[in-house]
Amino acid sequence: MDSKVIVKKPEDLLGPLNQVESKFAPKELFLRGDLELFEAGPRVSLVGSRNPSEQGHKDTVALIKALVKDNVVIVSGLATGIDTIAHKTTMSEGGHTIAVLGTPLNYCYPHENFELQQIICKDHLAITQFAEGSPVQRMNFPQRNRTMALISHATIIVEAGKTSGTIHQGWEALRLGRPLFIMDRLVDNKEISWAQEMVNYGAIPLSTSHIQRVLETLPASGSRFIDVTLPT
Amino acid sequence: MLLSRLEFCSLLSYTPHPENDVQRKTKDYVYDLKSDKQTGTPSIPITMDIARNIANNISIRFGNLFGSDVILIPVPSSTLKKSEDLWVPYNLAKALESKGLGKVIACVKQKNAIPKSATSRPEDRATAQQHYDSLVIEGVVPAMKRIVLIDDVVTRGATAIGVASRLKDAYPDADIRLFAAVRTMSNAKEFKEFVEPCINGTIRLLQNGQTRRHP
Repeated sequence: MDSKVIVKKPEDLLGPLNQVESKFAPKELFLRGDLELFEAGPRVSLVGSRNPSEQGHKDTVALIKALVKDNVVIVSGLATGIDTIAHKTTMSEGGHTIAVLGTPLNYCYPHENFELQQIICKDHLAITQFAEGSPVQRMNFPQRNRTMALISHATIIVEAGKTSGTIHQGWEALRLGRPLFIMDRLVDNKEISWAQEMVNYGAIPLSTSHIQRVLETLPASGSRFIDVTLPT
Repeated sequence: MLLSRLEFCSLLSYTPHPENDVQRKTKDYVYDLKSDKQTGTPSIPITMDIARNIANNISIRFGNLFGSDVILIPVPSSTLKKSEDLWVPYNLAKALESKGLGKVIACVKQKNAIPKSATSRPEDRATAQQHYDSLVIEGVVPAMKRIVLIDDVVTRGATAIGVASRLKDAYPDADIRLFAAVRTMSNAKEFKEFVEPCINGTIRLLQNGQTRRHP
């Protein structure tokens, strides 16, 4: 990894934060890779299980293909499972991807994604809120998920179990007023109560045949922030 | 009982299916409005920028809509909300209040979730009756004569008819109108410009239970 680490405040990337956004926003972000990806298109997080089913794998690929075709930048967390499928499919489709890490940039977790992390740092973009030398601990990952919700214009939960870490991201997206989509298989699954509860609080059930609904909620560009002060 | 008609005013217009750069910017603006992002230098919330614009132009538009005797009631989300969740109509109402354009009473709440209008396909959108049935008025609210419902975006107006009808049940003598920051132009061909105030708009309840907004 020969590219430099760049340090930015969230405001540098997203524009001034409102009070709701500021609550869990990290003070600093450490970035390695192509910073222009932040302006390349609207950003959508795809997150889900570390042990996806065959259907979860298929859904992820179908979603990524449609979103990349519409110039959407795919954000995920570099974990095994859905995250890895999301990053790799985006690359194979010629799209842009951002990995939001739960570790410092000089550390890789899981270790099997070391090569993938290197490619992302070179040709795409890796982001973390954890400075080099800071401990890698379990609590990093829900914090990472909140940051992922913050930097994404929308979040899609593709597949997740009863106690998945992606649940943190879902609630944070709702708190921020960002669109949250949950695959309808999860919403219909009576064993997963959080999915229906999130729908009651504003999440939108999604099927791969209605991906247009995601695109309709996104801004037309990934521009850092609009600055349309109304004429007085 | 549902109202058959509600008058509304709005300041801006946007199209969710943009065909050119101007229209694309309006879509970006509405995304940022729904996040109540900051705008300008020094930055202020978009809702405050809208309130400032209205206050500065009150003599030429919306003069008979707002005033110190007006109760501003933010339109609730069609889904449930936690206390710390972003509620843009409430932020907009508070911004208008800070400019002396009324007093906020957030007394209409959602008791159960119904499909979100903004993200539903037209055929799946909740009707005014569904909105009405899902709402409740909470707290001890004084008598209100002039009520303006405050919303970020108005599309067909089903939510507004539901809220206005629920309030009319409780306050039959009140004059109730709607102010929305933005009105949706579903057909991009009908979009004229971003700042396009609408002073005397109407939302009508149709016989089939759907609502129609004009203009």
